[in-house]
Amino acid sequence: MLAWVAQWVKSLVVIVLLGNVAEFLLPKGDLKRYAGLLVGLVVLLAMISPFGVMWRGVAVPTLNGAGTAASGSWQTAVAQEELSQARAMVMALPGVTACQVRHLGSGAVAVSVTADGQQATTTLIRYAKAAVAVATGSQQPVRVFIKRPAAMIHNRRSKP
Amino acid sequence: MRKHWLAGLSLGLAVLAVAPGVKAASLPTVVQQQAKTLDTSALDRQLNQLVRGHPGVAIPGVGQIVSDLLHHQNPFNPQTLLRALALAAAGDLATESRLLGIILLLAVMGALLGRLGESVAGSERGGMVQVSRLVVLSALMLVALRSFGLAVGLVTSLVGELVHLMEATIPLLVVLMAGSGAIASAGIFHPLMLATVNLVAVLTKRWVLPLILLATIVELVGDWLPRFSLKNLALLLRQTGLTLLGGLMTIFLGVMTVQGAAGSVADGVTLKTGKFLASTFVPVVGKMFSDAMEAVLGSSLLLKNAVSVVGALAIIVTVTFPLVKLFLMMFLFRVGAAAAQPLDVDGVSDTLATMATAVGWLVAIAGSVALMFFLVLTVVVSTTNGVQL
Repeated sequence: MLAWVAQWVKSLVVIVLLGNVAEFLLPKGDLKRYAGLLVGLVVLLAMISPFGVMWRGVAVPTLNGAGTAASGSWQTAVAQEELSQARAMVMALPGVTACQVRHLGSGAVAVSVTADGQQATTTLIRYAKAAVAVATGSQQPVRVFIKRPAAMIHNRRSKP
Repeated sequence: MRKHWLAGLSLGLAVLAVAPGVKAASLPTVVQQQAKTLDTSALDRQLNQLVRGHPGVAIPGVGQIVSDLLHHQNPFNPQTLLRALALAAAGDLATESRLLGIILLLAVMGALLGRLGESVAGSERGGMVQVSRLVVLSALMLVALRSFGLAVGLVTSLVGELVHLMEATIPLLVVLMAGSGAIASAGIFHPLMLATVNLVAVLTKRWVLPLILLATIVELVGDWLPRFSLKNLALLLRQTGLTLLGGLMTIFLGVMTVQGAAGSVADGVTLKTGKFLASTFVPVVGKMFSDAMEAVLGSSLLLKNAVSVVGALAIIVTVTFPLVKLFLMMFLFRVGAAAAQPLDVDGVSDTLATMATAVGWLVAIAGSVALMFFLVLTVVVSTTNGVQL
């Protein structure tokens, strides 16, 4: 609530600031007077805009955009979310230290996994493919890249 | 049968042996015993923390105050507080007057630049004059806002400290209140006091201070850029903040006084009934019991008052130092405004006057919060003192 008030006041101050700059820059004459009037009107509108919302009743947050022109961005967001879920699944596997999941241009999904020697490569590949399939709910071609930093494997072997 | 009689006799003898002991114990002894069993560690920790910041000020502990009250001595020497206060004020004056010097220097430079610009450009209000004025005012505002931010931080931390102090004091007070027989009052006041203290703290920190800060910024922008002034918006914001605080204070005081009066009447009735029952229906030793009860309750009353005195003193000490600092700040801003007026640079004097007013509002907020906490302690204690045996 207070953050909203602060936002309101900030926008008002910015408008006044810009109005003063315009006042300073414009040459003397009719234009300056009209510009002053205009800035005054804008300040007035900005000041009463919250009360305008009140008159119209409580603003109901609507999920507009689904099914309209903005639905493209909506679907992108969903796809992105699915990919990050797949990433979280892969990261949950013991031995995986890093993972990146991204769309390739052709509709395929690329998964690059960084892992130490704890899991076999075939297991990792199978797990990553299954994770993508579960998260997206569709059978997309998946390419898995496994990275094994030498230091990690070495550490693991030297431990016992 | 005979065994039964023997048991009754021995019980009676035991009571007779113990009860006069309770009655014969002098009030100071009972009080000292109670003071020993009272856990004042939280309060003591707060007091130590408070005193550490201000050497020279000594706040006596609860036991000390009890014995002073019993021996009719003054538990607190205000002279030490005044001396420490004078010392702190001198230090603050030294640091703050440096700020005033910077501000005045800026104002003089602004005036010089303005005259210079006028004589070069030849016109009354040329672009150069305007720009020089803006630059000086911007620097001034940066300095002023920085010190105002410090002042706001001071008030915020003051409120936090007061809350800690109250949270250390209230449990003690409630326990002693119940111990002195004001059970209904303790039940009423405990949630009321805790809720008030926290509500006031949250309201002040989250709402009142930010609103005052916003109002000050808007007003300063109005001084900085004279066109399209938003001074009335500043007034609106400030009034909203102060109304919130004032309204809460009014409601709270009303509720507490009325509820407290009701609670103390109920307690009085309960205690009188208990005493009457004890002295009437318990034969022989009943009177003794009720007298002993009275002594114990009376000593709890004394301890409770001692705790409230400690709390009130701690609040006074906590509040006076920041308030003096803020007062000095306000005074110096006023002096700056008065001194900058004859220099006749547009806005400098107004800016300083605005800052002085804003710091004055901070003083008012800090003072009213402290007053409210002070009243919580004193009103609660004096209301429950009305519980008569």
